[in-house]
Amino acid sequence: MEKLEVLATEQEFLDSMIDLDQYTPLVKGQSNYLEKEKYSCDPCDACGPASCSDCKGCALD
Amino acid sequence: MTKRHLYLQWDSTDSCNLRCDQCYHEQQGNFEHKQMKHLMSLEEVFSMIDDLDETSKRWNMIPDFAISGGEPLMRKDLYEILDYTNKKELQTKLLSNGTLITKLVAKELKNRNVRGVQVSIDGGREMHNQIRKMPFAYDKAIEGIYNASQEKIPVNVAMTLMKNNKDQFEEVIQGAISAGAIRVGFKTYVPNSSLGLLDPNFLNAGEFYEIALKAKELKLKYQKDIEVLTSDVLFQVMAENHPLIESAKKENKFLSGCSIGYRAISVLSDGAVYPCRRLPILIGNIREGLVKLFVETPIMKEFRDMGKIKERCSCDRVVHCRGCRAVAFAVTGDYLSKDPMCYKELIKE
Repeated sequence: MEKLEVLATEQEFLDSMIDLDQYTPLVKGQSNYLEKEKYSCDPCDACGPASCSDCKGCALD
Repeated sequence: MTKRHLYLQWDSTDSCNLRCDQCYHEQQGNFEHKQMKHLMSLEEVFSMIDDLDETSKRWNMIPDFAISGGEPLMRKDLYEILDYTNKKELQTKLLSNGTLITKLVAKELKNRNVRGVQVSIDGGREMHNQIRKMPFAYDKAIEGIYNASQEKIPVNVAMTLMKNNKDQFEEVIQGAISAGAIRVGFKTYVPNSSLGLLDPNFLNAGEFYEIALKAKELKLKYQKDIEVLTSDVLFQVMAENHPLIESAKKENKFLSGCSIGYRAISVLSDGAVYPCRRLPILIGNIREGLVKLFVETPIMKEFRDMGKIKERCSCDRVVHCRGCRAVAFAVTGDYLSKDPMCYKELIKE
């Protein structure tokens, strides 16, 4: 399917979440924070551990 | 680019072969009233799946589709639905009580590329059976986990943590290991809103803090055998400071924690939509479409305004915690109020 143009209201919605890549340099090299990919799997009480098959737990532990 | 996940949990049916003490269906009267509801037709389900697929592409996110119930294996056209999600290449998981996952069912799930199964176990054998009100529920669930694991379907075990089973997390971990699960974690119990803090199964902040500390120990103790998840939202309270947290707070942006309002939504068996399955506030119908439901619904907008989160839940952890909005609502009637289970003030340096 062709990706439709994202409306301004949608962009505002998407911008309300922090860009996970923007801060990658801040993550790398920090002893208590592992791979940046972990941030894509938000720990979610709504869905529990099944939210992401690749979940390695909480990056912010 | 690092993508976020767009999570849709769908109650495929209100039917279930068990009647668990803590079930929200029981509390919300769904078993009694299910005959009055119009279940989504197969055509409507396919439209919902198309919507999830298209919206996640539109927003450059990874679609996560979790099929819940009732018990999803009670839905007669489940395999047709899984054929469709497989064709769409969605990350599809089942949230199941495990008792109906026979060897044959496990093979059928594997053939349809189901990416994972979450099975609920709420204690050791005796406790689990008592909560499930069925003598062999524990053994059947363990067998179901084993069958799925044998087919190389990753199984996560999820425990609902309550007053009566709070000391049995380690037994759940051991059961999960014995059956071949790869992960185990717990979710907090949402009290019955008519009882609030008087719900006898409700855990207070001190009790939850003790369990959270114990879970961290168990994570290390069993790390060679299984991954013990410390993913409940209130674990975020113990997180160390980090530049990401500061940046997110400064920009008033979501980092992680409870996904309500941002990247998760719950659809009931008749198409009604809640912000979260544990928060019974109707925000629309799936026929309205995910874009509208996420972007335009006033309550979803409220959840995205960090400044509206009240009292101690507006602390410096707000961008990656926010507490559990469902627990806050069940106890106070206000979904923006504090989560009474938060133990931040109890943490000893």
